[in-house]
Amino acid sequence: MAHTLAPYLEVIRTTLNAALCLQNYPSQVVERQSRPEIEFKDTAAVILKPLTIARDENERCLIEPSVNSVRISIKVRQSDDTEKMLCRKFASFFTQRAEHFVVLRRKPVEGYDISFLITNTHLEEMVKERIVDFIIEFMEDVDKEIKDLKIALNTRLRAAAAAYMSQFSQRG
Amino acid sequence: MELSAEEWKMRSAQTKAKVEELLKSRQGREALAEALRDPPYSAPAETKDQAAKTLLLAMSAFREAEIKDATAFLGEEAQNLLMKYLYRFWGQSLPAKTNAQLFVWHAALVSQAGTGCIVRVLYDWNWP
Repeated sequence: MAHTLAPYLEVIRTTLNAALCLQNYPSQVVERQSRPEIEFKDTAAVILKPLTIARDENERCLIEPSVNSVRISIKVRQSDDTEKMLCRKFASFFTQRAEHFVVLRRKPVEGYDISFLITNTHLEEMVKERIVDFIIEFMEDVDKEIKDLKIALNTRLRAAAAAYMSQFSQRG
Repeated sequence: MELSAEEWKMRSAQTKAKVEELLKSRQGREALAEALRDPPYSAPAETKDQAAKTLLLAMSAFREAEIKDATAFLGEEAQNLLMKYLYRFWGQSLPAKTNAQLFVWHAALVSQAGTGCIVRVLYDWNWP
């Protein structure tokens, strides 16, 4: 269903462009600090409605905006146990190195595979369009990588099994 | 609009009947406009679901090529409301084909009304 991925990503791109309008918001609860409101939820009034964009039940994206931060959670399509395992390992590889990615969240939101947290400080250092491009590219690459990993896994499995079983083949 | 739950239910049933009638006489755009009039913001949950189903019925009457013109025909209020409904539908776990149609609607709305439409949706507290 690769040909329907493009409209799905286009919708996510336009929604992110709209949601990533962030500004600094000093915390109303703690003095002299500004915390990402979507994570701490100190003030209910600045947290906006979460938006879901779904291709189907197993492939969806949740965008939770607030005044100074946006949380983006992605659920990747996993059709069988091999892909589930690969997705888990892939996600944990990234989340263990989250500080290098800056915008990655160490734990995904409940019900999703991977989450990003973008705050206004990130937008001050980085260009908004490039961040959106990064997230869209990430989503495309995750799908492709998991399929490639699965094929490589099965190829290695077949080669190893053939090599092992060849010792039991009829010889003379 | 301040109406009681019963009145909302009646109004929603009336809208449904009108939309079905308009769809039968192949007036898709009028059916869409009718489904997007008077959003049930203060109605109970089943009435809201009913209104959403009616809108989905009106939307599915359009072919892909006609969607862009249909969105141009709507006013600003109706476009914002339609955008809110799109996000509501995606949260409802509909089948993949319906979701794919909704992507087309979204792209058409954004090309007509711009990114501002999504921003207006985000910052509005009233959702259907």
